[in-house]
Amino acid sequence: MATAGELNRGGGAYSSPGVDPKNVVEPYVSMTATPIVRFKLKDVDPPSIVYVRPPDAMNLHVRTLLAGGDNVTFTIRMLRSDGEVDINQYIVTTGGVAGIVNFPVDLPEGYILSISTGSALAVVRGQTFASATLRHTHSLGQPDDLVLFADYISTNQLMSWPGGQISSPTDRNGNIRSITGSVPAAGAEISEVVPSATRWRLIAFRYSLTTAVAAANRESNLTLDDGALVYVSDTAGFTQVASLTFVYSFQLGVQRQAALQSNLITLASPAVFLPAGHRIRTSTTNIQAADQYTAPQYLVEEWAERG
Amino acid sequence: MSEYKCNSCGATYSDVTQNGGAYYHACSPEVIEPATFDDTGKQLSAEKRTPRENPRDERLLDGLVFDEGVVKVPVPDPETPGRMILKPAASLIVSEGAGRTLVAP
Repeated sequence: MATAGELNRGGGAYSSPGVDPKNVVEPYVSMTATPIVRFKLKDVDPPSIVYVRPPDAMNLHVRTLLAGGDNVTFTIRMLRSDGEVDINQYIVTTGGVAGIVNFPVDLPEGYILSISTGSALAVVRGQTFASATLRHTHSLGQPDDLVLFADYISTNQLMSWPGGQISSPTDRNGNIRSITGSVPAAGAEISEVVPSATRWRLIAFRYSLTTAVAAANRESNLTLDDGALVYVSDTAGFTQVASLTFVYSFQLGVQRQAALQSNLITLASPAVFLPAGHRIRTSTTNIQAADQYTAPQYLVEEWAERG
Repeated sequence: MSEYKCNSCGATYSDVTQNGGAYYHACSPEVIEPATFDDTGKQLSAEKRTPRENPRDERLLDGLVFDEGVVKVPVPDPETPGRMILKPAASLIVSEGAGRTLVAP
């Protein structure tokens, strides 16, 4: 039977008597190669290539497509000329509307260490675009000298410098949106327009047409135009007579099909990108005054057209 | 998400979509006077389409800038050709038309 003294000897309680390591820590010996490079411990150069001094300014730019606008936080870390690190935070708001804000901020003399930015309201890519640029003076009219980053941001997708990206707003994937359009008055066509400074990729467009009792052979077609001139006319190839309701479903990657047991027509939609001001409309042959289009619903991929 | 009726074209719409995105109504560009037919399907008069007068277009003006607490629009500088300056926007949308009526708040 080991004594308590024997049990507690060595590296720990109940360790094996006679094979215990010594109850001391051996000096640390590094196994890595001896460094060839030596680093300064005093008068260290700043870890940044971007030196600024007054009247240099940084323009914080935000463009959002969100209906209620967005609030974007920029955090700027700077190494000042006196050796202190400044951390400044700016909240840039778009004033409650979908629009643009340019927010130039003055910079002290020193080196920019990092910038990060995130959105308060945008939840997916394609809604709010932000950039940080340097310019010589605070003036809004001053051209940018250097782009530090430019890309979409959201609540969970920060953008930063260094290490961030310089992207165009139409690069990569956009925001997939399902949009309910305007229900026109009786006897009028559906007409949807691409909003200002926005680009859409049309994925699907669906609506219903209820024909009145007036005798006429209607044919519902889909047209795309540039705000004036039609460049796509997509026909249903189907005659809808009086007193019927039919659903027209245009979509990518299908061929025309008419349902056998319901009033549904599946139609091929063109794969197109639509810039701002272009329109998606119905064009109905022999439309009557009491004919009613309803439930226009469409799916688009959306980008801000300019940053 | 309020529902409105356009006083220019009579269309009804919501200004915000279900997922919180913006929706900008713009009137269909034409007023249609339909063709007429008798009960046998014989056409009695031809259809007429004329441009809509005073359409409403709720798309935001291009390039709205929120500056010093005011939403402004870029306009050409009268003193320096080719330069743009910012001026407070009288209206944020392309065309008011005949306005709109709130149908359901």
